Amino acid sequence: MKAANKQSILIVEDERALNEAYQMILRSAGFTVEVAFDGQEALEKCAELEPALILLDLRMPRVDGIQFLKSYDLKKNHPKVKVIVFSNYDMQKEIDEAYSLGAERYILKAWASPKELVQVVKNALEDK
Amino acid sequence: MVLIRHMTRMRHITKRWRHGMRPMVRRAWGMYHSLHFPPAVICAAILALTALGWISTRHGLQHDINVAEDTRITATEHLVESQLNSYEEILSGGVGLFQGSDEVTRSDWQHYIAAFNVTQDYPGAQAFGYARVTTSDELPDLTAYMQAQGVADFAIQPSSPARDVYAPVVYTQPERPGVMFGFDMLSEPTRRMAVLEARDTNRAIITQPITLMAKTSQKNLTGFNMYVPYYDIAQPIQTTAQRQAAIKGYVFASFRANIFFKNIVASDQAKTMGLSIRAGATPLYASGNYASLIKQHGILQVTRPLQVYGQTWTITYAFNRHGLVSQPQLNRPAGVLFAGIFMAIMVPLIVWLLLRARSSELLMQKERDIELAKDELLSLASHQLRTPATGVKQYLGMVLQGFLGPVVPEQHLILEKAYASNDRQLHVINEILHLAKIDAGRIVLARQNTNLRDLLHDIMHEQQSDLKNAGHKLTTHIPKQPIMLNVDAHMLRMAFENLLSNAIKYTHRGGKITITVRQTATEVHISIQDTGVGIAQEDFPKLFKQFSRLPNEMSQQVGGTGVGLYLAKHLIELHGGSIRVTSSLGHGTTFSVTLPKNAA
Repeated sequence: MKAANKQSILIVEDERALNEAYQMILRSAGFTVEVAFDGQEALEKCAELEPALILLDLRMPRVDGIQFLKSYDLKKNHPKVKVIVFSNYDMQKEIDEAYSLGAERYILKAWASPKELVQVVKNALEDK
Repeated sequence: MVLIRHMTRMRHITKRWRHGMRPMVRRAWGMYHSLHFPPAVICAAILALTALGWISTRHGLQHDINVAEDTRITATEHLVESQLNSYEEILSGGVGLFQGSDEVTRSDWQHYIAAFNVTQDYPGAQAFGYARVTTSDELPDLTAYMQAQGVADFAIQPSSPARDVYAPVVYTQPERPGVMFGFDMLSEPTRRMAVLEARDTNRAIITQPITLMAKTSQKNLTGFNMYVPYYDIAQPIQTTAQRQAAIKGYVFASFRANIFFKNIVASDQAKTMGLSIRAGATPLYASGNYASLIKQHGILQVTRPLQVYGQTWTITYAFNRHGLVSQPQLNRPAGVLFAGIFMAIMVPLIVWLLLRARSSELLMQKERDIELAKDELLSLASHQLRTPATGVKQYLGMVLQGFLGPVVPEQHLILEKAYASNDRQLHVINEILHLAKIDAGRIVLARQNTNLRDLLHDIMHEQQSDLKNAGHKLTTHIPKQPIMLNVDAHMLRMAFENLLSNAIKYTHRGGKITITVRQTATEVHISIQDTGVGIAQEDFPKLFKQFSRLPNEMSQQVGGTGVGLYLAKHLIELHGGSIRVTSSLGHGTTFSVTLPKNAA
């Protein structure tokens, strides 16, 4: 595994339009961006390179956000990686589970404007 | 697709639970699976087993009683027979004495009987004697012979009428005062019958009950005699006729019944067993306890015949069952019955309680499943609705917020309107989601320590541009110190956002909005006052109803779903608070919210 790039962000989002929008927003804000369209792909990307931050959707095909967190095992294997759960699915049970698996924040996608998204990511990275 | 699948699943669960079964099938299902059926079957089964057990133990007890009765009866019969046998042996020995000597004198007889120590060992007999067969011709010689032996007043009794043959008593031992020598055994019919039978059969024979001869007056002289015939040994006695010809006399014993039978019932059994003996219809003896025993409750009476020396005695036994079997044995049937009934109540009761607990658990599980399905459906629905709107927000936002370079002011204005419209769409989705959750009773407050002051300032800050655009003046009277409350900040924020947003929307340009916060020891009062269009008194009841938008001069200009106040009221009430409205049409409206400080 290569050394983690502090500015690299992995976007895990199955909705193509949103995934692309987040790529554009974060790239224009100066971050290195990797993308995955489901949890399985995210696990593969993470095996190649440990990102500084993961923007993680919850409801995705194949491996969903919760399953990804369980497999990736943040607390044990990747304590430095920040995870922001970024979902439009607000089932309290899953939100609680995500927090218990080590997620840093949960944000409802619908409320974040592009500027706010950038701010949230910056805040999370600076919080180190 | 996912959404439709979820909706179908939830409908399926609900339908199956509420209406899934046709009434008839449901009734049958209910009958066999009701809470009462298994305990009823168990109860019936235990009762049936109890009945069987009760019958069986009762039979067992009866059997034990019968065995004990038979044992006692056999022992009693054996005792009577062996006592009579021992007397008969003395009499037979007496016959041997006569057969073995030419002459047996009064003194010889006295010595013979004295050898047996009869007063002590054979108390049942009053006398052991000898009656000699005498023809009328021999009578003078006999009288002389007896006188020679010291019986001076020897005479045949009764003396008349004159008979051909007599069997007078010549010896009797012990010779008590009043002993009657000369009494003719053949003169009295009852004795005569036994005497002749003894003669004809060459057997010891007992008489039917007789009144014993005595000169002294004694109360109870009921008794019986036993005769053993004495034949001339020189003559044959094979046939009845030969025996009648060879008869020389009778050795006899006289018994007083109440003395003979005195010890038949052992003293240690006297409480539990009594008996009465009859010969034919004539009472012979009754044990002292018999009369009182048969009057007691639950006494068992058994009557058995006993063949003794030519007589049939009828013995009626009276048993107290406590003397026959032990108390635990007697209690067993009742014990089985009570234990069975106890079990028949307790076991079904326990089963019923367990079943009830289990079924309510199942019911609760089903309700939980339904609620969970509802939650999932609501969350999924809002997710599906939010996602495309979120896409619009991001792309519009990128252009509007300059991610792709500057935009000209006209474009900016249009983009702003589009962005605001999209934002409203997202708000509506959110409100409808919360509305649905409230209606389903599925909002659970995530309470945390929250500074109400910060929360209100955040909301004012957020809506600052709306305030500015409307040209309103906002005045606040909020204490400077933090106001800490244990609330769900997200939910409370939604409520106050709605109230402030309404104040801004329904006030003419350049109006005045005042937010005031006051505290008591237990409560916080928040009022949001505007100088807006106001609400007509008659519209107050409709105010907090969902989807009710009141018609006023501004409702056409401003957007709304008619959900906001309904939502605000419910969210505040979920926190244990209340909301009131005062208004004057054309002059403005004040919403007053009260929140408890110590809400759990």
